[in-house]
Formats: sequence, C-alpha cells, structure tokens
Amino acid sequence: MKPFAKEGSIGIGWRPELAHSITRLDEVRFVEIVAESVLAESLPTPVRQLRESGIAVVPHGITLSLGGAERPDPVRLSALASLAELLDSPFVSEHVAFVRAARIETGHLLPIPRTRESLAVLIENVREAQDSLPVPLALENIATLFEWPGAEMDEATFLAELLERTRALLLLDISNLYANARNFKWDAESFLSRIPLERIAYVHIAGGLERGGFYHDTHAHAIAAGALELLEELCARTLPPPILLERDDHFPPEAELAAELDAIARAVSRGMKRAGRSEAAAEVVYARG
Amino acid sequence: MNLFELSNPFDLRGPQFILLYLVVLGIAVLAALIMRKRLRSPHDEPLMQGQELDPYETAYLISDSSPVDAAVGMLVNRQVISVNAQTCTISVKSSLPANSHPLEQAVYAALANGSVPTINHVRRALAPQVAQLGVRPRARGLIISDEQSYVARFVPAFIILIVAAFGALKILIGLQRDRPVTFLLVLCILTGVIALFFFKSVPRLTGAGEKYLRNLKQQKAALEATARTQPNLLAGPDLAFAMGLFGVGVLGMGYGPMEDLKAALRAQTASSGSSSSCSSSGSGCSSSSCSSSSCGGGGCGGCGS
Repeated sequence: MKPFAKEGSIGIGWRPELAHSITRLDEVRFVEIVAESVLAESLPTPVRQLRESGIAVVPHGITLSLGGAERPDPVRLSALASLAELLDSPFVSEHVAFVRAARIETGHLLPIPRTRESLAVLIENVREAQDSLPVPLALENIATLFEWPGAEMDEATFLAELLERTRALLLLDISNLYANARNFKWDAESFLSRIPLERIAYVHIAGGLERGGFYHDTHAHAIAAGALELLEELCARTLPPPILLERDDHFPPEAELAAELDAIARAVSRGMKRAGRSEAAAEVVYARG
Repeated sequence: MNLFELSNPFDLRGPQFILLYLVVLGIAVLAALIMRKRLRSPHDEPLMQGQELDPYETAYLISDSSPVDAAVGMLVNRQVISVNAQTCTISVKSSLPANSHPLEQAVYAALANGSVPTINHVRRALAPQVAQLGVRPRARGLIISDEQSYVARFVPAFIILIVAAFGALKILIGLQRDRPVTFLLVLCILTGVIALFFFKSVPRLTGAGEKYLRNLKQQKAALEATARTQPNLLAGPDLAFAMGLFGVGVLGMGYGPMEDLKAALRAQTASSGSSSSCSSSGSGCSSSSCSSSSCGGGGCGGCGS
C-alpha cells in the first residue's frame, strides 16, 4: 500500500461548505471525498489544490452496494477506479451495506443480514470490486437503527470473517460502532478485541445525538464523549491509525471544527499514554496552542 | 481571380470582393485583438511580496461598483444596514463597528445623514473613495493608465475602420457602375459595429492585472466553494474577499438578508442607475439556512438518521 498519512494523523471529510476552513486547519493531513459527488473529469479545484499540496485524498464510495444481491456495477467501479488513479490515492473505501435491490434505491446505507449466505455474497462482491480497483479497498462498518432477524453471527464475527477472507482493509467507524453498541446494548470494547486491528486503514469519527431512545449518528453534531472514549481505547490497543472527522450538515465555524479536531487529538494522546507509548511514536497533531 | 485583378481589388467582381473583404476583416479583427492585448502592458504578474491587495482593492480590479457592493454587503452581513429589494434603498439599522474598513465607513457616512439612497446613489457618492482604491493596483501595474486606455481603444477601432473605409470605397464604385451594393453595405455596417465594440469596451486591467486576478481566483477557489454553499461560515476579511473577488452574487441561496441585497444589486445593475422602484425579482428575506449539498451524496449512515 502506498504511504499514507502517518499514524494518528487527522483528516476531515471534504465538503464544499468546509473548503475554506480546511485550507486553514494546519492539523489536517488528509481528506476524504464522496466519490459520487465528483467527476474525475471535473475535480473541484480546491480538492485538486489540496492534492497538489501533498494532502492525501481518499475517494469514499457510497453507492456500490457491496452487500446487495446484485453484482457491483462496473460503471460505478470504473468511476471509483478513475478517481483513485487521478488522485493517486493509497486506497478507496466503501461500506459493508446495501443501497439498492431490484433496481430500487434505498437512499440510505442499510445493514446486511448477518447470515452465512449474505456473507458469501458480500465476499464475492468485494472480491469482484477488488479485482476492478487499482488500489486496495477499505470496508466500513455502518450504523444501523434496526437489525435483521435470524442473525447467525454478531457484527464483530461477520466483519472479522469478511476481512479475513477478502484481505480487504478496514475503515473502522468508531461512531458507528459506538452507536450500534449503545443502541443494541452490546460491548464495544469486546468488538475491538475481536476484529483485526492491524487491518485498519483509517478511522471515521463523527457526531450524533440521542433522540427517541436511540443514538443517531447524524454527522451534524458534536462528537459524543463515548465515541471519543472508544477512540482512546482503540489507541490504547494499537498504534493510532489516521483518523477522519466526518461532518455533513449544520456545518460549524472554523473554531468549532478545530476544537473537534483537538478533541480527537487529545483522545489519541490519552490512548497512547495508557499504552505507554510516547507521542513521538506517532504523529499526533494538536491544534493551535 | 487572377494576379492582375488583385493588383486593383476595386475591379474585382462582387462575390470575389466580398470574399476578399471578409478575409481582410478577419485579419484586421485578429490584428486589433493582438494590438489591444499588447498595448495593455505590463504582462508579467507582479511579485506582491507581502503587499497583497485588500478585499476592496481587489474588488476594484473587477469594476468601479464592485468595492461599494462588497462594502454594502459587509454592512448588511453585520446588520448595520438593510437593503429593500423592492425599492433598492438602503437603511441604517445600527451603529458602525469600530474596526470597519474606511470604505465601509464611507458607505455608512453616506447614509448617516438621514437620507435613504439607493445603491446607485451610494456608488456615485463614493466615486472619490473608490478611485483611491486604485492607487496601489496602479502602482503595481495591474490597471492600465488613462493613456494606455485611450490608445487601446482607438488603435484597434481605427484598424477596423480602415477596413470599413475599404468597403465604402467599393460601394461608391459600385454605385457609379450601377452594381448591387446592398450586401457589402450590410458588411460595412457590421464592420462599423465591430469598430464601435472595440472603441466602447474599455479595457481595465493590464496583462499583468489579468494574470493576477485569474491566479487569485484560482488560489481562492476554496473560499468561493464555501461562499457558494455556506457563506455564514465566512466572516470579516474572508467574506469581504469573497464578495469583492467573486461578486455579492457568489453568496449561496437562502442566505438571509443577503438575498434582498442580491436582488437589489441585480435590479440596480439592470436599470443602469435608475433610482425608481426596482423590480421585485428578489425573493425577499429568507431565514432558511443553506441546504447542504453533501448530504444526498455523503455521510456514512449519517444522512437520514
């Protein structure tokens, strides 16, 4: 895999709303773009400029529907591949989810039934995608508000087997993990013990809020304290991977964004201290002093 | 057409002369464009060396009205003034913050006497202050001098007019010989219009100024992206820069009182200085925030939660 942002580096999801702030946040070392929102032929100038300045750009797909019964669309795969080549990305990422069935678009990332049959289909689709892509593929765990009945395994087992059999990388979404563990009442730390942490390419973290008895991973609010604690736990268990802040709505002013990045950096630092690692062991970037 | 006829083009038959005329006109237009570009020296982008232009000086590179529009926009954003989209008039709402730019202070002063002028009134009243904004850009060779402007207008226009004269002579000869001249007459009139275009369009920037502005817009692409989608995240010099460089219209839709300002600016520009009531093309104030352009295509499990 191509050299990427250093361990513990902090990134942010690129959105045009945040474009100006991102250019001013010195601590940002890499960005992620929603692959379907850009065309390789007309890359937004600010993204191109970030790439030219040495900032890594990761295309993040949301419509491949790897968990669906249908094969991945070759056109979508080709577009993702083109972006990865254009941006010289170290990898691309997608979701362990499906977004369409029988040509009906769900408009949302939906969970896959955790059965052997579904896993087999998912593995086939992932392998097909990997064969079409010029760079490694990282798979993200999603947040869900419901679970399919008849699950034959839990999420950690499902994910671990998927990664083992496809050799794909993992985009560990700490906030999604936090949300699912909280909403379905299982132990997130146990989850961390059972997935291959060495396969983490990078981490997502985002904000959310409690509503109607559920924690919603909204990407539109401040990061929950519990999610930061989980990040700290992760960094106590393994060398901190690059961490990306996602913000998709209710965009905050630059100072608030910087504060979120600071909070992430502090969680990483706390985790490393617990593990007895010095901060020099990884590039932990603090915001302005 | 043979060489003998070419030695006296006025003896060419009608269609052949028309063809020759069109070729000569094409060459003349090309020559006029090249001449006009060459006359706008210097051409190398200057090194600003830490003396970059401020937002309003930058706006001055665009037009005389751009700095005033941006200053009005800043005062609207700070809720110091408000703009009526229907009448295009400006009203004072509160006192001016202490750290305001001199141009913003001048806009406020023009309003503080109790009158309720339109944006065009303010533009005209602040002409001296706006002219001052051109001092540094001129010193850096970004704006053409009055002499350059004169030459850059007349010389290209004159080149085109020579072609029209060439055609006019043929028309006279044609009339003498009782030949049809209508088509050539139309061509000569068109040539005159082209000459008028060169004469009336006053180049503002030197080649260096054009390069500077083009490169600056590229550098500020991220600023433009945010201004178009979430302008409320911009403040102070950033907001002034966005409006000065890209125009007040760059601000994304639904951005509160700015919508009234944008509507008023459109109406004032279209009416070319009319102080009568403007069109009601503005949508009026909208308190809705900018909708995220990313949610439909982004967010891992975030959107729709």
